[in-house]
Amino acid sequence: MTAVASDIRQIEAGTAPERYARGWHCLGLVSTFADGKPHAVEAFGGKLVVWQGADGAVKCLDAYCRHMGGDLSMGEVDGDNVACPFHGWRWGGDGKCADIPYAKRIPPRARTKSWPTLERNGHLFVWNDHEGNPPPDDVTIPEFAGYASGEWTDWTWDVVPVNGIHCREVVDNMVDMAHFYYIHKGLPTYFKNVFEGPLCTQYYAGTTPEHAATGAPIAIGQYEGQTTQSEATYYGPSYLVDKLWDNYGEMTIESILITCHYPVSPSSFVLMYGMIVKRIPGLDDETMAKVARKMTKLIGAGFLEDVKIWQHKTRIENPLLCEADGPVYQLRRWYEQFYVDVDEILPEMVERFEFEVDATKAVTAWQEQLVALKAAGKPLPSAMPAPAV
Amino acid sequence: MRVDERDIAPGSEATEVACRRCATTVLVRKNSAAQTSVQWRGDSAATCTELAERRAAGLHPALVPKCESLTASIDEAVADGRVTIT
Repeated sequence: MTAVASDIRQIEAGTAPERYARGWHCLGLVSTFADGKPHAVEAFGGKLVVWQGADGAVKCLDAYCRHMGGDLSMGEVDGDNVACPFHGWRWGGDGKCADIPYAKRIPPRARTKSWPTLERNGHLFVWNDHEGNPPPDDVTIPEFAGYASGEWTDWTWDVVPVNGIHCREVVDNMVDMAHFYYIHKGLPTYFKNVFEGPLCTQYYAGTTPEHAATGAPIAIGQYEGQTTQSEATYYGPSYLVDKLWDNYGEMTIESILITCHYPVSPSSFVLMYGMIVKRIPGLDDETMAKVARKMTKLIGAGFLEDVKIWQHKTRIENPLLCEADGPVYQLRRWYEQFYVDVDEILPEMVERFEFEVDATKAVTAWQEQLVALKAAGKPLPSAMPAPAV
Repeated sequence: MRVDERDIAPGSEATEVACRRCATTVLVRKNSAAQTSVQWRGDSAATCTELAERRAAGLHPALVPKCESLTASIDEAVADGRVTIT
């Protein structure tokens, strides 16, 4: 028997927004930009120049000189300013032309687009806003306790350009309980999302395939006492802070994993991830750095699996959800606040919403599969230590 | 805006639950004993005592997984049949 056409679920692919999200976007480690040279960053549909001035502050402007279109990122840093390689015009971080060495007067309209910057925990952020408003005081990136005083290792940092898909795919993963098993080989025993204001959090606890395959009972619905616990929060549209606790026998490794991105075009973005690990008393710097690198490597392998999915999937505006899926539509409703004008933000985009997933069937079914794999002497999938994306 | 056909949306089966501790009233839906959706309205920390306390301590309410009093009130509403599994 053939289904009639009206019974067939049609995918609505929709189109990616032309705009770029309003919010703080991390461009990478401050140290990358703090070498006294101008750096080019392709982002938000254009090209930016980023440099550290003599005053120590990192600044960001549109890369193209308003005089004759020279590329400032090919120029040089002169004091606090960046100098155009074409005719030497000096531009300040505030977007004003500071000096034209060969002219007596600066034209009154010599002003270019500047991007507000923020440095936090060793990361550099720029503020994007399609309406051109400055960042509100209450929208910021938190400082990590103990970061400044050296309680954590240095950042590992990896950069992965992703082409052919809108960055909403990355954010979608926040609510995607089941992909943690299929992509990251983790078994989520607890999974809850909270959206409120410009923040979106995922509470995750889970166990490993190795543990599940033993057939030992798994405390489904319990956040405490699992192999991995994670509290991951998006501060705005693109910067995800994932606090992780991985329990290895008697030892707990506490880490912070950052997953962030900035858009290059409506269909491409740069994905970045990095980790700091809380220093363990008795372990030297080198060993701690090794732990961080090893964990990042495993996580990176997981991200590459995500990227592979994104690069082959279709955009889908009408996902067909089952009862065990997370709140994809509510996540996108929250995400929409960053694409509309501020005065068009609807209450339902920012009002608190909580969704706790029932993982009972999922974990039971996956455990059965793993027990059967082990009984058949087949290799088990190996878990990635990082949830959230 | 597209809505989740499974969940709290205009015309869906969500039930209002009031918190025993404060004036907060939320919409609740459950599709199983372990699944719960809670839609708040307005500024959560303006009405919810627990979230207000956490916010006063410098924590953004999105970093608080739940209000314990409200959770207890929802559990009661489930136990006495005001919230059904849909």
